Amino acid sequence: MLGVVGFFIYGKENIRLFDSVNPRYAQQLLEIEMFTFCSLDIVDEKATKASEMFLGQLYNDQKWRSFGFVTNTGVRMILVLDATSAASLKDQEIRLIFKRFHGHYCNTISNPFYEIGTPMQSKWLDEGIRDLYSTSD
Amino acid sequence: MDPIEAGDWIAGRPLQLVFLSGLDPANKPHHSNVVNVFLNRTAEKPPLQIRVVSGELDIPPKRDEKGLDKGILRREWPSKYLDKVPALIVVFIDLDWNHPSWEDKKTEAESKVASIRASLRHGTKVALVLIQQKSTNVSDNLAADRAHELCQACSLSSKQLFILSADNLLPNSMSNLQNFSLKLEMAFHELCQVFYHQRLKTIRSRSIPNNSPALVVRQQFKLAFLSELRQDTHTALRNYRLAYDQCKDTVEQWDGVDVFEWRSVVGLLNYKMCELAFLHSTALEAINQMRRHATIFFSSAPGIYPTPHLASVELLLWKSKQCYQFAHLFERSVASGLSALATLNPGTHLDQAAGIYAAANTEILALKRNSPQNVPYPNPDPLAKASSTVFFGQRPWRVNCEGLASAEVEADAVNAITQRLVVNHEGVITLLSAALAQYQKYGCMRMKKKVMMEMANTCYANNEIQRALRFWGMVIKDNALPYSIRKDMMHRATWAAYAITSIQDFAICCMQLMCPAYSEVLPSDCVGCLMDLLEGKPPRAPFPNDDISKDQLLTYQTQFQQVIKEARDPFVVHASKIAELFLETRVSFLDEQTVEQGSRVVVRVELISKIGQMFRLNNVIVHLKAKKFPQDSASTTTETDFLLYDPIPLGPVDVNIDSPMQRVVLVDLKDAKQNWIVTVSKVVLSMGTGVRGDVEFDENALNRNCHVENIVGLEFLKIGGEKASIELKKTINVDCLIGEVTSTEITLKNNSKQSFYGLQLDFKRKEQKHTEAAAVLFVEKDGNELKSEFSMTICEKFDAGEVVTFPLMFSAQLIGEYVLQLELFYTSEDVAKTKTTLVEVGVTATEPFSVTSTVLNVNGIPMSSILNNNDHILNVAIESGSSIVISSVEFLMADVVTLCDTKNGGSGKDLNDVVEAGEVMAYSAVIRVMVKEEETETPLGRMCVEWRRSSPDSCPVRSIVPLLRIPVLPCPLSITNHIKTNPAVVRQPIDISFELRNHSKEFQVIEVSTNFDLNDVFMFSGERKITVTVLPGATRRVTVVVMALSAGRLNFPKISLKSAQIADSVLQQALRSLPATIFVLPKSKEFVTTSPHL
Repeated sequence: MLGVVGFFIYGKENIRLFDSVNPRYAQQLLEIEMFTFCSLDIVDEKATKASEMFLGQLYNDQKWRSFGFVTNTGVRMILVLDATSAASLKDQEIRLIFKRFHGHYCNTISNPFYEIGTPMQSKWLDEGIRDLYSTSD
Repeated sequence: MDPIEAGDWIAGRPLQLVFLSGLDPANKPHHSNVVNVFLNRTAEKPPLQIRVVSGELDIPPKRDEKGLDKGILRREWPSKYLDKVPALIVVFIDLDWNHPSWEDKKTEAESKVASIRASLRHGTKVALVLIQQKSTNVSDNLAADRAHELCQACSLSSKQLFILSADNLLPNSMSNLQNFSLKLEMAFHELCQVFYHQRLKTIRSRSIPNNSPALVVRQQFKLAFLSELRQDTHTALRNYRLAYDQCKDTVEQWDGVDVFEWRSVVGLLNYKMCELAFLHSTALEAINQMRRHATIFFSSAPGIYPTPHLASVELLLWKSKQCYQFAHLFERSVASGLSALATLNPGTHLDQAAGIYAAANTEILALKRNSPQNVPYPNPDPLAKASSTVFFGQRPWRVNCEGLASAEVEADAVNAITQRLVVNHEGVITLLSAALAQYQKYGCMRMKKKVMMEMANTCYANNEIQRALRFWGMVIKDNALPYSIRKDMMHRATWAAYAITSIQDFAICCMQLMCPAYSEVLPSDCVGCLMDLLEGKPPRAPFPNDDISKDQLLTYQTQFQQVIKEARDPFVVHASKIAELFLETRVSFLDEQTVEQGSRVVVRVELISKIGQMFRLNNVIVHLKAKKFPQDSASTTTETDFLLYDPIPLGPVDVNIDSPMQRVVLVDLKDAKQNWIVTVSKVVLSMGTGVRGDVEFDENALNRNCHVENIVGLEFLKIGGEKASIELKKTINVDCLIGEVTSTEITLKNNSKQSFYGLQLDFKRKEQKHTEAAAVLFVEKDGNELKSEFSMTICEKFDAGEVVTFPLMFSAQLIGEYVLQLELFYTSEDVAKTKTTLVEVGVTATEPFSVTSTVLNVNGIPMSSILNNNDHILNVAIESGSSIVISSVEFLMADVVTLCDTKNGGSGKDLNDVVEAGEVMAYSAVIRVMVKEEETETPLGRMCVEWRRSSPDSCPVRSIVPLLRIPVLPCPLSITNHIKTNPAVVRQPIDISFELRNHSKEFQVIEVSTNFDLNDVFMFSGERKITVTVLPGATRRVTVVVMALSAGRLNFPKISLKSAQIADSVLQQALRSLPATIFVLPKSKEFVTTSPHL
């Protein structure tokens, strides 16, 4: 069990474009939301200095850990992991998850009817995320 | 039981303990000096802790190792080395090398050292310092011998004996003493190092039976601490780490009843490790150690001793303490120069500490709720020895017990701990406040919001509802916060406001919940609640789906009834302090950006409701404000810097989502000064019948949540200056020719609402913007003179809206495009002062014509220079720039120029020559120049041209234009020719007489040789070559007869002159006054018939 808790996408100005929380953690939705919200502070700081898209670990507390990824266009992606899960993901694995997540994001924005900068509603993206949850379980 | 504090010793860096004995500062002043210098500790001195001792030494005896107590770290052990066991004892003796009773003194010193040595148990080093009156010479053999003798007697090495010369102790040689004491201290420090090194060796050599974890940890801790004393912090860190690792490795083997003690020790070790890591400037190592610590021990099982609940609470409190202590270390390190980041700052640890503390509080509350009430506090108090346990982290009731205490004592202890535990919300708030400050410092605004939310929750738990509501209010205001979180907070806040029956807070919550963003995610009956409240009825439950007992609801409603009855003042809602309300206000000015002082402006007020129900407002009051802009930052806002207008009430209004209120009101902006700006400062919506309330939209809340482009009109107006009351109805631009009198019409209009008197138009030469304008000449009304200054009375009274037209005549004297600035003076009824307005008339002045004059010779060839006394043709070409009629052309020649003939030149009076724009008209005259001396250039004179525009009513202008200047060459001889036979006919003799005239004034006789050139065109008869003498003023003729062999225009027979007196070039030029051609007729019939010879 790898404990992938949720995926979040924020625009360049930190407007939320997409959020998904693993149904297994639905009970702690508020905590996760707040934790992700706080992680944005670190993204703000790291994004300006980042030399690559993967920002590494952003923030952690007793329950959650967050990792960041910022695309070339400044779109921020946050992955929340369960800090209490027994197996901790290696850096390489997290990069892989982000790579796939980014791929799903790119596919979604390739939809000609999607307007950049608006909240994303895509069944492909939802399916992709579900896929990521299932592989992590 | 609260986590154990290590004690005061942990606070600072450990210092090496040194005792000074044998000093009597009270009676001996030089001793006092020595003591003062040693006790004055500064950072750059060696790390010694120096104490002056006298009398018996109180050094603790070696502990009996066979004690029954089992534990990990003795609580008092670190203080033993910090306070009790010195590393070095320094004995001071007043003794000179040549002391008369040297032997006695030596024995005394020996006995002193021996007695001190006898009382020492831990191998403390001894040093001897002799205070001497005289300074010792290096080559003093006596001194060397006696020093050796003394060392022998006291069994000290030579490195342990020091001499302090009394010279250094004089008050005026303090710096010497300081230097000397520094040297001494360095030496003491060396001796201390040796002591601690020996102690380390001793401790390391102790064998540990069965590798008992507790003993290993103890040994490592001791090694580490002594290494710290030895100032070898790297070894200390290594030993602490070994101890820590030992704890970590044996965590599974911890005895259930000793978990608390182990945990206390682990906490201490972690603290020391982090402290040293920060000290070594390896902050990342410290942070990683803390992370590791949290990973390993924070998730460990709390255990079951003394009870599972208590163990859990104790674990939480311990965890919180760990985080707090680390944050404290981190902060201290930041204060001493470490730079922290948003990602790594003490705030996160304080935040974590607060979170864990809050969890502990929750558990404590639950524990207290479940524990039996009315149980007396046990006597004797099992926790009495809490601060005097033998071991660090030991349970106080188990001091001197092997294993557990008796069952009763254990039960009493549980009881005592339970009773002593308190829910400490203030503690959580303190931690959160500290975290808040840190987040603020490192710019983590979102984390700050989170902390504020937690503070609100804690205040709520602590029953400080008002404070909690304030915090929630601040957090909810943030639009970036996800709605799911805001929804949760709103839910709590609304219930909290309801429960404390605060009308204002409850109304604010309801107004926010009425926004569609909330009503979509959080179904509530807030509209009903607010309506109830405003009608003076106790509001219904805000969330009908929530479970609340009827009794409870009734209690709240009864309370509300009471509060409503007592409510006197209307509640006030400041819209700017709330992110969004169900009502939004848009205000704007429907006017131009800059308005005139004292004008009336139109203000548009729009009120938008976001709910479907019709909502009644008793009144909408609009407040306007005029203020100075930009406001001076230096001076405080005084009453003269702003102006509040009377509020404008709009009366009762009903609004809902489909019918917003849109009103337009007219406001008189009186008294506002120029350059101030006018804004709508506030819109107050008053509502309610039973309970009255006001919603105040101030400048920050007006027009919010709305794009600028969606605002109809302007958000603020600027007060401009008063408009010019009289102004030109249309701009005037006059095209004129230089010299002509142009007439234009000026039309003025009175734009103001009042009459003006005594309008006068003035032209002031000296106040013109353009220099060309200053040269303009004016013609006064009915006048016939050109004047440079001009003043005209236009009218006596000029009524509002009236238009006045009057002519302006002037004559431009210089070409160019420029503006005439005429000043209009007038007075008004109310103001006695004369007002001035500039009237500007644009002028484009051009030349009427351009004159080009040239001089030609007889043959029509332009000349660049002319000969004196010869005839030339002056040709003047007038190129017109405009359509004009030339009525007269007159040559006004200079004195030296004789006008020989003007008849055929076209000049004269009453000409009426019409010249269109661009056409050229030429006039000519024959002139002869007679200058006395050679001049480089001779002005030929001027020409007077009278002209007028070709339009019918134009007036004539007389323009005088200069003619060209040309060099005149002197030539005493002039030559002219006379053709006596006229007309010349082919094959008929033609008499040509060349007349030479001597003009020379110096009575010079000129001898000229003429040579007639023969050619094929003419047959020639006469003297071909002849030399003539021409007397001054005389004329000589040379006559030849030629016969043209062909008819037509033939080259004039050529004659060449040569003279000794005149240069050839001048003669050549003189010859040019002869015609170039001669026209020869063919033989005519008439001629044939009349000729009798043929």
